[in-house]
Amino acid sequence: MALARVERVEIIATDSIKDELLVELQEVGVLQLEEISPELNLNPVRRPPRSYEPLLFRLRQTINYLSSWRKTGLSEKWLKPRPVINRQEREAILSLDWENLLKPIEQAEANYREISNEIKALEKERELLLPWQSLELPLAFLNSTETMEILLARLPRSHLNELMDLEKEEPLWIYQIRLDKRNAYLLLLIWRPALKEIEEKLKPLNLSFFFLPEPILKRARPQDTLKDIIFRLESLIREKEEAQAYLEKKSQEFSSLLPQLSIALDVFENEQHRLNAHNYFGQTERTIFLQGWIESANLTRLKQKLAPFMENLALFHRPPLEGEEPPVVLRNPAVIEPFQLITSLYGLPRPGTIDPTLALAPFFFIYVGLCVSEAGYGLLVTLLSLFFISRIKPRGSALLFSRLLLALGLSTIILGTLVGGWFGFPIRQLLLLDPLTQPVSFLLLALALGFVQVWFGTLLKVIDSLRRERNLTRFLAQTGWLILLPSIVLYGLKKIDIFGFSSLLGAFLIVLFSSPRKNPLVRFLGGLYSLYDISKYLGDVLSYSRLLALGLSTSVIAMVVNTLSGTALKIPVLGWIAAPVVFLGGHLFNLAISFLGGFVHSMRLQFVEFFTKFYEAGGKPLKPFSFQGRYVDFE
Amino acid sequence: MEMGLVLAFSGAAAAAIFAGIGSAVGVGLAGQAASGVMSEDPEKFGSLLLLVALPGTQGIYGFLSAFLVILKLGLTGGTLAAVNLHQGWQIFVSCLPVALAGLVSGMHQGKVCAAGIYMVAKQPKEMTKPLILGALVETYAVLGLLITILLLNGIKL
Repeated sequence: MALARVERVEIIATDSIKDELLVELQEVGVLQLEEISPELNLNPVRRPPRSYEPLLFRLRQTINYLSSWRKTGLSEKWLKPRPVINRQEREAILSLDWENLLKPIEQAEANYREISNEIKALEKERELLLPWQSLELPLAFLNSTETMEILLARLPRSHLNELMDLEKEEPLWIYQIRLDKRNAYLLLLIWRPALKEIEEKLKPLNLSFFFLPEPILKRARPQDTLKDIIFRLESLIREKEEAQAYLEKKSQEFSSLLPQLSIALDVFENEQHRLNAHNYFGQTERTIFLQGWIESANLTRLKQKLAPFMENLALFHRPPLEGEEPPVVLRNPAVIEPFQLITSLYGLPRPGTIDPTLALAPFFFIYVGLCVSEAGYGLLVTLLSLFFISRIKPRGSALLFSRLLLALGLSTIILGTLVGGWFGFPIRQLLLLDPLTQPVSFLLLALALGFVQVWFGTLLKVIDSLRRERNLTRFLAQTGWLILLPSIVLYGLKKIDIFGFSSLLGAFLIVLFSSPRKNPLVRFLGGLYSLYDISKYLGDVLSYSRLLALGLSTSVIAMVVNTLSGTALKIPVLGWIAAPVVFLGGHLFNLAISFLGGFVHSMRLQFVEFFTKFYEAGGKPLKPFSFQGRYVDFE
Repeated sequence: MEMGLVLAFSGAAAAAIFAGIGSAVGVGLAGQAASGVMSEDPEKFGSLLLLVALPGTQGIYGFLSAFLVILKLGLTGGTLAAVNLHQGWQIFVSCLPVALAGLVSGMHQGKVCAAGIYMVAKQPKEMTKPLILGALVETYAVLGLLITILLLNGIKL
């Protein structure tokens, strides 16, 4: 139960091997590089001028475009193991002619976008012309003459009569082209000298003139009617759509390159990452200097990896000095390791403090089991995580999470059999406690677990403060709590004098040592006040009653699902279909929500009730300089 | 029908209705926030789903309590239990904790989750922290459910 030892590493090497050095460091992936300490007064190394950023940008663009054409089935996305790339494959990818590989795809993308825009523009034009299409006049006729202004106009139907009236009074002729639900589409002939006047009178009618858009006019011949233009637009659109369909097909073909491109993206990103790592070098005339942190257990691996360069470099390591804040690494036995995820979710411990993982693991294990308390669901989750681990072969935190799920699945099988059932059907012979008929016993069990954990948290605090602070008064006050809590519970249960006395002893210690002030009265009153903290402990323990509520809710919903599917079975004929659907769907739903609830609430019990007793977060994780892939793993 | 039975039914209905409303409002709030985030980044669907679903539990607790009442009354078995006026009131009052705690905590959990969703939009790696914050609100619905179950369990029909 501890944090791994982390050491400071310093490397001095000749300038000539700095590139190879970084490759080796990235491959071994154990050393976290640090900025050069400013007091060393070394020049920073200029990063090599080469940059993969433009290529990375293009790769990302292309991947983005192609993935919209790729129909990945669920099976492909989730069930395919991640590819693993070794050094040769990496170098092969680097040496490919990406310039020429990407070009045709980018061209296809550019063409596709252009043609899509063109089609959109053409369709818009067509849309504009459609209401006027029954005007069977050549465009040449629509040009105004010296005496006559010829205009197309749209008018809300409600104003049509007013316009008709106007026609009787003014030198104005109207020809109706089309009427639809809301508008009238009109051809207006206005005698030019009266134009101003008439326009004035048309204003209140909400009439809007329509002018043919410039691109249409350019393309049209004088003898064309609007119908002709629309017809030609349509054939143009069809042509473009054919070209678009061709490009679509081509893009779909290109999308089979997607896996390679994703791998390439990962590879080049890591290359860029390494180029950026040049910033960590400090430089003298002939040598470079590098600082970092390493987990002590990995030192030999680093030394082995660098052995071929031993003539050109010197490697020093030392434990962290006072005042240095090294990053932290959690190291636990394999069974406990998955629970490190819970610790790191809250925040890693500060260097030199306790790693709470081992302490929380058994509690978390039991709580999730109690909250879900359905052995059937546990079995499903266990099988699922086993399948995932063996088939997909995840690495890093994905593997850790799968192993955590595996552990929680097993816990659910065990506790589900003991206090729940299998898909809503309890196995009576194996049942220790039926929460439905004995909720009070279950509640007491939950509270007892809570009490143990809260007390254990206090114990850890005592040990930790003894180890680190060597402060006697605080130690005595904390010990007071350690004695008081169990004694008062036991006294409440059994009324034996000795527990009464030990409660008093605990209370006495708390009152005396909780607030170490000079003034004895203030000290006494402060101590009395901190005795009031017992309400906090009470609240913490009561909070564990959620274990009962969540456990019960899973079993009851499982029961409800069974009752419902039993009812569905009674429907003639259809029942044989409906019942399994209800059964499966209901249980899957219950599985999802009860695991979500069980996970989240068990985690909260660790964070809010347990960690607050003793735990200090604030450590930074060790992030070794290494290969990292989104789509692939590196050997 | 006897008045006692009417009261018992009202209790079951109240549990399902009020806790359901709480969850509906809560999931609604979280769902709107998630849609907003997904309009920028549709890939986040998976990680946001949990936060949207979290305020849904109150409704389930209410439903569950209603179902416990139904079981108690023997509605599923065919023979209705005899419920006098006192027992009716007992059942009704037993249902109130989950109903009211579910109503209010569902809405507030929805707000916390919606805020958490905005947080995930900016900090995609911090998925679990908003879940924990949401669970803090849910505690009171869980406690309400617990009391409802214990009270119902204590009623002798």
